[in-house]
Amino acid sequence: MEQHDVNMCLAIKAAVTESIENMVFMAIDTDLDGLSEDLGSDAVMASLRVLEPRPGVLRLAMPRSTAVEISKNLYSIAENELTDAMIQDVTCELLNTISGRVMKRILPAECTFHLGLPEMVDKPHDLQGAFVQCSFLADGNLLIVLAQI
Amino acid sequence: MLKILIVDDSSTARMFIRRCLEIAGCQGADFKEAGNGKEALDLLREAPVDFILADLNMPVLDGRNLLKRLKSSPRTCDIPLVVVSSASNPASDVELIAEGAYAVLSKPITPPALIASIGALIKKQEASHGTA
Repeated sequence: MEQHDVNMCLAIKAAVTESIENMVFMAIDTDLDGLSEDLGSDAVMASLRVLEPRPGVLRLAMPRSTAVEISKNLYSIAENELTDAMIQDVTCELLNTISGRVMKRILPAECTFHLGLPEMVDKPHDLQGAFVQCSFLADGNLLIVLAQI
Repeated sequence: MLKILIVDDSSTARMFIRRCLEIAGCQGADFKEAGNGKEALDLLREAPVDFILADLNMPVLDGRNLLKRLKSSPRTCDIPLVVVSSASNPASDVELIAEGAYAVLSKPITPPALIASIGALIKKQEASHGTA
């Protein structure tokens, strides 16, 4: 792995840990210990464009079950009270928060950055090879962050 | 009763900010919510608030332009606006403070960070209502 990719993975790991642990109090583990990284057929994925200082893309992909667990914890409600719109909004807001923290870690303090608006995307399995990919477990639930910056 | 306006295009972010404010001492406040800067201005035409927490990156009218619009009007220029954004960093924070923001907080906010940044503001506004 090149140094750029190593630095990106470290930034993503810190950003995911800070965001998930502060927002939903779920412990983040980077050791998947042989667990499958298959997102399943009902996976959800959000995408966010980095506009400045250089163009790029950040994505958050996870099985729907992970998105449900995170949403339940965030809203403190039961699964049957969750709507698809809530799950999608949680996924987008989580990616938005993670993306800001990644950019802050990889850019010098004097460098401003501009992010686009997060949006849900289809084809969660379309994980192109040019992305740096980092996988995590949040209380045992798989989530994957991809970066192309 | 404190009147607080939360402006963010994400309903999740608005809920999370409100919960942090309640933990930070604003339980019982009258919370109003807007999904972008334009909706915020529409709400402020109906009734003033004690302070505003607003995201930067929003459709229709973003947080930076909301701040400019507020500061350019004699009716709203004294309402403190706290920026809560994922896109804050030291350089942009300085710019926003120079443009009139009361404080700038990075997402995800936490109740301790809120108290540290705007605890004095909350107490001052509560005192003005005689509820401190």
